[in-house]
Amino acid sequence: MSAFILRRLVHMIPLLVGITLVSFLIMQIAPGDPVDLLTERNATAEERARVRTLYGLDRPLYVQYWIWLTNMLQGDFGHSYVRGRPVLEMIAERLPNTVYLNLVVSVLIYSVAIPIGVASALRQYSTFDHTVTGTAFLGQALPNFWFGLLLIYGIALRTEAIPVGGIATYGVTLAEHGVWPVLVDRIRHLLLPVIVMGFSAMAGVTRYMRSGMLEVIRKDYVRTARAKGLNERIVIYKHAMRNALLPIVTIVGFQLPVLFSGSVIIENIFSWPGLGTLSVDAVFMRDYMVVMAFNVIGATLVILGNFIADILYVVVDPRISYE
Amino acid sequence: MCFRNERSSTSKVYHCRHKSSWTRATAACILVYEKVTTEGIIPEDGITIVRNPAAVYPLTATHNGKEVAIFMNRLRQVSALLLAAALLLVAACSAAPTTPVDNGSGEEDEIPAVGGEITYGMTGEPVILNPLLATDSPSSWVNNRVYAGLVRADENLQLEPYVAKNWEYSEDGLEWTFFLRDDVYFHDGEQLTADDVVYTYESILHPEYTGARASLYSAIDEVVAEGEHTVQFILDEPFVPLLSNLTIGILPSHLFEDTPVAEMRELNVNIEPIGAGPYMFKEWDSGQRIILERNPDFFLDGPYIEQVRVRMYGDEQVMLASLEAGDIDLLGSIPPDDVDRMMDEYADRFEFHHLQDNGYSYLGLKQTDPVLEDVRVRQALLYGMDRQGMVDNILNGQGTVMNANIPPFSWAHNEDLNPYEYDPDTAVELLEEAGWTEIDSDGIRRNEEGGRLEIQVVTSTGNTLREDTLLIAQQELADIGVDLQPDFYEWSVLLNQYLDVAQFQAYMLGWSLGLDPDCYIYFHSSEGVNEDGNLVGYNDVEYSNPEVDELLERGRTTFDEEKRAEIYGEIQEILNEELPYLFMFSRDIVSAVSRDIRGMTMSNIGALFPEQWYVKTESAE
Amino acid sequence: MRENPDAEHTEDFKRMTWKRFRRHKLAVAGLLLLIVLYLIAALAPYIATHDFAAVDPANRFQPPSGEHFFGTDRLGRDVFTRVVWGARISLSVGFVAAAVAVTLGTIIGAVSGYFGGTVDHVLQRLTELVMSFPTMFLLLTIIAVMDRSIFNIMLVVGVTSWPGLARLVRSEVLALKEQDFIEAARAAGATDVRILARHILPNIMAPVIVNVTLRIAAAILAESSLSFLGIGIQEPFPSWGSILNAGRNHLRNAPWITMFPGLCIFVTVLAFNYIGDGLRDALDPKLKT
Repeated sequence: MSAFILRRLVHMIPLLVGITLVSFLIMQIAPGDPVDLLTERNATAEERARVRTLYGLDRPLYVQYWIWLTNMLQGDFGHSYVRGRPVLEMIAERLPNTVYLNLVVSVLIYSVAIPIGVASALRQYSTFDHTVTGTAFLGQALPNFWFGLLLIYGIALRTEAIPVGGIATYGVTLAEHGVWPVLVDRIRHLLLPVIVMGFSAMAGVTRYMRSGMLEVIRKDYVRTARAKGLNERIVIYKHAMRNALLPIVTIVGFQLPVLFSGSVIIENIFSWPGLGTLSVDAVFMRDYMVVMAFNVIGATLVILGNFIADILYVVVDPRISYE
Repeated sequence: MCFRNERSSTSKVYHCRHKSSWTRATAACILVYEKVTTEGIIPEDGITIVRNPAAVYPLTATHNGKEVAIFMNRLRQVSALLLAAALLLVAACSAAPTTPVDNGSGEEDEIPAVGGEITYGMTGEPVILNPLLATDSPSSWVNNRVYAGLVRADENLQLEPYVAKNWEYSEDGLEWTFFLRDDVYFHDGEQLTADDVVYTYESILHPEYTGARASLYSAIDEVVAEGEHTVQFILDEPFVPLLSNLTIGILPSHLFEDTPVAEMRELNVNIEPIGAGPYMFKEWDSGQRIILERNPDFFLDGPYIEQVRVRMYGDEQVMLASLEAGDIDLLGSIPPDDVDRMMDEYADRFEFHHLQDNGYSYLGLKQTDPVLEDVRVRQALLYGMDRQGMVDNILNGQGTVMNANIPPFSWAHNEDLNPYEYDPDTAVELLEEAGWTEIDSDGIRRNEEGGRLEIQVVTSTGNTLREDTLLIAQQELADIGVDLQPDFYEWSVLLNQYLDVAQFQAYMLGWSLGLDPDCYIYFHSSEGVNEDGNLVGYNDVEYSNPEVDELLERGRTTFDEEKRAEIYGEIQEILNEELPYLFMFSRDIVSAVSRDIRGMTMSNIGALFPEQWYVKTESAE
Repeated sequence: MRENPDAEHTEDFKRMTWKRFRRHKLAVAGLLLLIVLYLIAALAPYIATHDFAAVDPANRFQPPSGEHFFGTDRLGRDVFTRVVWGARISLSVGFVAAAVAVTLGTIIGAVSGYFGGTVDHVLQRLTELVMSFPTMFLLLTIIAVMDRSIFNIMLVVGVTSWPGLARLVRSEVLALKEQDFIEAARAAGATDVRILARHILPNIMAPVIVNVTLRIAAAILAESSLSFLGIGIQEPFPSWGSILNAGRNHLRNAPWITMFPGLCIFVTVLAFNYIGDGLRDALDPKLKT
């Protein structure tokens, strides 16, 4: 097992290098110049040259890349040209909020979508099945920003209990108010963004689970189990569902970049202080170091997610060996 | 030593703004106040007015030795106890009809009390809480509360003492001496001294400074501390507009001086700022809010509000929804199309202030362009655009047409300008005079040489107002046979490929103005393109008029405000005639203020004097 | 397993496929809807009642009426006209972006699977690389900093969305290249390019076609998301996403501006997804769910 993990880790190295290279190059190809951020519009050529030297932007590209890369390996993602702050610090204060939102959405998706998918498969072509399949299609087609805005105007503005945006009410703290008020407050803020993100993502998982289940039910071993006269419950949960769940594990890995992408939009609509709002801000301000960093970190997280999914897959599927 | 000597001979006319209608009585009081600040005494009436900024009531009036009035908070809130006496004073000096003073919310008997909290909503997040490095308005809003500058603007955009209690100019105008208050402390307890002022300005002038403000201070040769509470600015040449730039917040040198200026941007104190302003920084929750707390040791009266929360939003409409839901008490600017609805629905909870923005949008025309070098064509373009229609429609009436570069609320504004009211016929006449007589099958004019009357306008993407303006202008100009072709570019592309290299036929942008009417860098011929092809200042349209050059030079070196008003009046007349820019309009900023917040002074640069704001308390009802 | 590579090209196969597709009622409905939409897009100049760029500032925010079926926007432009022209732009963006993605995905996947070895290794890493970036991060970064022409948007949306298909095609090719008829072709002296083009590609068209429909839907959504962030199709050209974005600040006083393009995106994406589903069932009966 550890050999397998090690092999996967080594395998990740060229990928990570590629990620840094792509993130770096995009910003180099872009028209514009970081020096613009640090000088007045009518700065003279000398002033610009001075700032260029000061920030090491006069060095050859490969040198700039190498310095950036090696600093990153030591945990230094540089400073934002615009805000002057350490980039890592800026991302570190936002990332937990994005992970938090995505985690809640994921847990919800799987805990709701899996049973629905299974139930839908077991009652193929029933009204329930048609409703589920239909809703799943709707969820996939609904533009999430449109849905989000409709919810804000349709629900948040009409209901005092649902806030328009944000992650928590200021001043509601564990120390002062105890667990329940904090929990309730968090849930109130989570509700709308989770509904929007969950609805579209859930659709995919439900459909995947349904078709996986349908496939498994037709397999010989399920038929055999049934023929043996085993309790239907046991057949479904012990034999069929466990096997149908396997491919879902890989979906977890695929779902991650999709969720991250979605949260760019959702966070902006719901003023959620995560990586999504930070990235949009940074991109529009051309905050080079921050843009490069959030691409690197976003992609690295996805790779890690896939890595974990791979290991999980091997762990749960007895048919796959990890020699 | 005299106080504000550039205004000594002027008495100001105050006109009505927004809701707090100034009565003649108030105006008369201000007249007294104005005279007081310069002369201290109005002998003929036997009234003496004592100004003591450090006292609880900064202004006291005595009539024949008897105290007749005290003025709190620059006359806005004449203490009710002495209202009658104040009116006596008014009667004495102007014989105006006696009308009670209106302070804006109609509750002048309220005494501000410490307490309460308010939430301000903004779109976007402050970039950096260091006044030397920040250029964005979210940062300025916070910086204006955390930091204090030498001087600050009042509601008439005149400069008044702040950290500097007064100042004087040398005979030749090259030495400016500022006398600082001795009771100003930074939030960490250190006293603000002349050294801090010197540090602040020397940092901007330092060759390794990486901010965008150096050109505002280029006239300064040297800043010298003369003792603990006196600072001298030594100038290369007399430069009057400098005063309006001395509003910039003073940095605590003890927290900065160990770091090279080049690395100033990376200091943590830019995120957890320490200033000497009325509010102290408490915390910054990235992407969510900034919390400011009352500075109990502030050097002026107030502040009263315990906590000011700044909430950040990614979307303007969501911010509005938040205001409606009651999460915000204060909003800097409501989008024009939402103003009517908000005012209809929320008049009971909010007060709405309409104030013209201190800036304008314009179409810059390359003066050397073969088509645009003819002044008749430029005038025709302006006649051919219904600017008032644009204001009425796309700004929903929340705006003012501009006919030159200085807005109407400025003391330097010239009212007698050609208004260029929408007049397609005159436009056509001018075009034909200029030789654009033939009309093509596509409806576009040609001249005898066969040239086509087309104008390419470049502008930036993402600004709806500019997009709308250009799309309407395009259609209106097509009616008079001009083919206006708007092209939208991403901001840095626009700068790098067009504006900063001064390569364009026309472009559309807006200027945000300073407090001083000086416009040298935009219209002086030396600020255009130099021999190397580089843009020197912001005269990217390459406007060149020796008369304007001379006036601009004089405007910068004349201290007397009345004379300056004449100079800038003349400049406006010429610009209005020659149109280096097609001046478009400026927006009205409509702000919403909760009715619980009192003591605000609204101005064209936003709500002023944050230390005077207070929250209405039950006991004051 | 497919024994006769040419089977899929016979009339019989086509008829069978169509028969199976017809059974999927929603897919047929989706197909009809799309035909209508494409007709609208093609005939936009004849269907539109106004000039899509003609402004009428005095008549902004007019509600739907006989003159303006879908009302007017903030410049008094006719929303119906803009939605009709928007069909042309949005569908084109979806189509071209999907074409770019599918071409890249198919070629990279096929080459990777067919040649194997180092080529496969390198292309696999490339696929993984593109896949590991959250698409929106990449789109946002590239488009925000570049020139936002329609062409760039089509290209970038396409270039960021091929990896899924590449993987699918690769695995299909891997299974296929060991088949007898490929061996036979090779023995007969066919070149690699010929084998790929004549024998392998036709046999993997089923998943590719299904993917095309899904990619078009995804590209339309991607463009509208970019427009939502203000970096999609630029004024005065209407795409559904850009009309929606321009109307989003007026959702309260003029909901019709956002409602119609929003519905168009929704219905179109739904239609493509149903068609994809129907095609999957029809082309590959063993996948039938």
